[in-house]
Amino acid sequence: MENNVIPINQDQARLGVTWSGQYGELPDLVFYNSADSDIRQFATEAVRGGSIPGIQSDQTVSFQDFVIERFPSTVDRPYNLLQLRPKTPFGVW
Amino acid sequence: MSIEDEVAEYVLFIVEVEGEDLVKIFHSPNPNEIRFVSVTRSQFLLHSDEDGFLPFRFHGGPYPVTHASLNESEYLKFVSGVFGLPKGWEPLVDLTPKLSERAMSIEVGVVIGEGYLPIHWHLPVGSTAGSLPDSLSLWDVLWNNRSTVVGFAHSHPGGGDPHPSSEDLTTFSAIELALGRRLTWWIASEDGFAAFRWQGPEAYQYKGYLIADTAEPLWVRALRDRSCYRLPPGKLLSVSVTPEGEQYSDLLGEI
Repeated sequence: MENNVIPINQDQARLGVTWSGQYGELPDLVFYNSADSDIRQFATEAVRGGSIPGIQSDQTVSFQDFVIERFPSTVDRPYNLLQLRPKTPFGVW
Repeated sequence: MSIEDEVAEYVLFIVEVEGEDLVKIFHSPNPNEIRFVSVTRSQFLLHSDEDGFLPFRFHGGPYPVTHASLNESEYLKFVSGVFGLPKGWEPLVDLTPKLSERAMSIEVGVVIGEGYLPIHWHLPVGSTAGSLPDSLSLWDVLWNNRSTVVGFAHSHPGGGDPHPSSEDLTTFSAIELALGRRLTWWIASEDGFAAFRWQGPEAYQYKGYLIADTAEPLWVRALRDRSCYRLPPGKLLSVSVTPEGEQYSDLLGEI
């Protein structure tokens, strides 16, 4: 049987996206060191295109106020992971 | 493990003595771990970096001190007796002259869940008198409670009617978009309290609703206490320490 598991290089990562109460990971890998703006763009296009399993297509999606968490690979998770989540700071000014 | 091993690298003591707030910040050479200890008129609690307030016994207690009224010498004896300031530690900053101006208040947040009750106190490292930093752990709490969370409250220094900042509004919006539903956002000043909800149609268009102090939820007082607001002038501090075996939830119930 052919093995369909795609190896993930050290400079690559999975990209997890949180949107509208849903979480999913892009089918395609991204570069771990991609710029934040590029990651937001990848995620925006993917959500608009409905290509993320677990997240319904949404043409109004905007990750303007979201931040990127970068998790290096671990023993339990042998691949890099990027996660796009909402920012959470508060302030008087 | 000795107390010296467990005592935090940064320890913030706030005590009011003869009308003056005294704060001493101590530090150790090891920057890997940060803890805060705060004393307010109603509690003596440990701030951890991500977990909010923890029982005092976390530092190797419990200590059989309850509701002690301390003068300055008693306070210093108490602190040194409890913590036994580690060798090599020196006062980093003595802000005593400034504390009468409430310079050491700090923003605090709390996640509100079912029944409009607190489910998570948010006191991240890096908080200041006027800001709460970005926090993955806060997002984890909101996400893990996304089906039941009703909102988030945080404190703003100073008095008067609270208003959300630009930072607040963009955070409100981001969290709601990620959760897929709208929340209520409360802000408490030293003497004001208001709720904000998205009105639209613009993304950051939130409407405020002032809430009379007689209608404030009970946790608003705890929020102000933890923000070091409302320290009574001219009175000695009363210190409460978690008795042995007492659960944190019990401690919350006392506030």
